[in-house]
Amino acid sequence: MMLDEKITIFINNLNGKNLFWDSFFQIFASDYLVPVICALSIFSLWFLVLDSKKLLLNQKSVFYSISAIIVTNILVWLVNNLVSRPRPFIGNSDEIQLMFYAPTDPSFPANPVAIGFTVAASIFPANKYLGYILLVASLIFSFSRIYVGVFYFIDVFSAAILGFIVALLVRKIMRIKIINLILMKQIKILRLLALS
Amino acid sequence: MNYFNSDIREIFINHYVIYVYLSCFGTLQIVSAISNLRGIMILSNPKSNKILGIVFLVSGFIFFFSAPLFINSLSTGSGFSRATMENFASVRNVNDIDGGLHGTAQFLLFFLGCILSFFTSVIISGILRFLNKKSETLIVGKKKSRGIFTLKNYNYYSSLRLNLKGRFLDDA
Repeated sequence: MMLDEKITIFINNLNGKNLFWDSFFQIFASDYLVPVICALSIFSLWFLVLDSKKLLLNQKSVFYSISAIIVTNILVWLVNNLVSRPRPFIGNSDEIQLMFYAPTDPSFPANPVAIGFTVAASIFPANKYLGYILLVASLIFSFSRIYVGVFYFIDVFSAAILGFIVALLVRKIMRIKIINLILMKQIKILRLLALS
Repeated sequence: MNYFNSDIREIFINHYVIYVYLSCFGTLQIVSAISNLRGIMILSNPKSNKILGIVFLVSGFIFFFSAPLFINSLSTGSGFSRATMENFASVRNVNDIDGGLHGTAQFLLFFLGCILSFFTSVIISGILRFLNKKSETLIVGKKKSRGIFTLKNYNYYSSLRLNLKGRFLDDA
């Protein structure tokens, strides 16, 4: 048995012992908690107006994170189709206890976890406070996804790395003069509507 | 399968829209209080507005995840029943092919929640300011702030006018 499977089984076998922690991680593993926290962070960053320089950085970061989410989704979809690793409750059905719905898509890399880390890394340079919150939320999210039995450890670990790399690359690409110019045009249009 | 025919999905959509609307509204109030954007603040005192925002934000999350305890949301095959403390946390974990929301639907509904919460803030803030007769008179050119910064001093309608007029003056 690989180390990845051993870690996954160890974390997953913690479930079913305490109702509070089971409920806590089931809620945290939900498709509707951390993704909404990420979206709310992006939303709040747009309206966080302290000074004009900071505002521009914040609003550019909103564009960076939305672009990075799209790129991450495409990359995860590609890797999912190339690797097509079965979920732990299928691959290790004897040892894994599923506490979640049974997803039908491949396991590697963990799409929602990648999105969480992408947003955290995209927002971090603009607002460290929000960045840390998202980072912690994404870490708990990753742990809970293993805890409930839908991802292997390596799935979430690789997703986190992928998320960080995509966020950094997108930030670099978006700084290319022509792309930055298009971005600034959009921000100027929104300024007319008193939104930027 | 008709997307909107599923009962579970219908419940999910309703609850999710309420959830994101309340959370977006709360977030907007917190951020507007921090940024002192009086044009979208409901209460004139930033501290009270921040507390109001936190209440809305937290209530959105509490509503969505605890609603199965009070509203019949747990699918029993033949109908719906209330969840218990033992299983309420799992009620929201439904695959998108079984009645949950897939990523695109989540994104669109969240976007809808953002827009609705913004307009609710703008409208309520405008009405309250009008009723309190504290609405500022719009003097184009007096204030040098542009864009979103105008919301620090004016309501959204005035800010919009100020920005559009400022733009046209620049062009001339």
